[in-house]
Amino acid sequence: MTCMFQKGNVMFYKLASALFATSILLSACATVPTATLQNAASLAKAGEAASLQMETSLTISQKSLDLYRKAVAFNDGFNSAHASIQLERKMASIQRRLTQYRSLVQNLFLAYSAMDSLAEYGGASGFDSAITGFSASVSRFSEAVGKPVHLSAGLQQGIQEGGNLLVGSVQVKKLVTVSRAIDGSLKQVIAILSDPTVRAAIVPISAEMQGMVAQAAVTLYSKGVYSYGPILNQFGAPFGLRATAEADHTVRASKRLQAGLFAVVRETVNSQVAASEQTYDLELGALRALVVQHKKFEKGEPISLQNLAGIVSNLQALTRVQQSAGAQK
Amino acid sequence: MNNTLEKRAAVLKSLASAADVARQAYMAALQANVPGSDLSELYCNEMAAATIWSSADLKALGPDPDIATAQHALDEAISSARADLTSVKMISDWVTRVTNLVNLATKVSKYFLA
Repeated sequence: MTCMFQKGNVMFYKLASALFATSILLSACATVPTATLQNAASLAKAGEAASLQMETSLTISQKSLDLYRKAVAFNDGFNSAHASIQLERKMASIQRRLTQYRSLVQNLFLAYSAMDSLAEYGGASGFDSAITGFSASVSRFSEAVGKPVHLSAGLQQGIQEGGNLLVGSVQVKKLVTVSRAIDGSLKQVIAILSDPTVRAAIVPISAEMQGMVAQAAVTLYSKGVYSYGPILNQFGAPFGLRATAEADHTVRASKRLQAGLFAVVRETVNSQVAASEQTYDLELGALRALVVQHKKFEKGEPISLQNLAGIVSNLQALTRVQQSAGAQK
Repeated sequence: MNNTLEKRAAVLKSLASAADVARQAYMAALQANVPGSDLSELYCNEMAAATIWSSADLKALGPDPDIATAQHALDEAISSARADLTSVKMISDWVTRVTNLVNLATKVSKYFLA
């Protein structure tokens, strides 16, 4: 009997607690500023889309650099020389910095995902680690490019307070704190990326890359390893033309045809490398556009994501150029 | 853009042109396909020119009025070599010419701060 009474007591206590919690939840929900939460969710989703696209672009830039390094290795080997040691060192450094930059962008995505969860359903578990992870990646990147920054402890203030599920005004307050933390780190990233020496340390000289890759391709062609067939077919496809079986023989017999097709090879490589350079500027533009919207959100103003969507769309277009150029080789 | 940045860009352009001509000379020699020729020395010079340009790209230009003379000599050599690129046959001649280009580019690169 005692035992039953105690069990009933426990059940009643649990039920009462649940009802009490629900009543708090409902009263909080009743005061939820829906527009603010929608703004936060939109901003977070835009941030996720931008960082995801930036990561794709950086992956392609790294692949271009890999191709360059292979071309350098081939040219050295072909000439029985070790003449590119210094250039190779420079490219290895760029590769390392790009890896840190990519890690930063991946952590930015995680920070926006956490902000999105918080805005969509009040999910607060793990966003403190996402924000801290992003800040740490900014520090690592800044050190890698020789422009070390020390993030203000104030930026992280209030991030770790609260439970796993936040609603109502607490949720909004936390979203503003998260926005400030992301915004503060983004401003430092923008300052670093805007430095011309950092740009030179991350973006390889396009003409140098283009020349080296084209040189390897032409060397291999001149030794009879490659055929211009695929380029000829691609060139003729829009007109319904296809290379004949003797096309390669004809090209090898004509210096003028070779010169023309070599120019096509250079142009193909060039468009890929140029896209890498433009990508850097667009990424910087995307980060700047995000900061502007963070400021609006923090002030309680409506946000506008058209500019950012345009930048992300341009980044996607450049990615297609880089990928199609890569596919042609 | 201030004068220093413009001057730096102009000097970098000369170094880029030197690297480009060195590469074109190598490519022309390769396509000339002279029997028994060894292009490794020409290639080493090509890479030397590329390295000079690439290293300068990361540096600031120091203040020195004499750079105009060195840059002018480099530009003259570039222009002369570029005009002869269609008739690359004697590899040894081109090794000498590109070595000269590298030496002139080295003089210019010394005006960049370490």
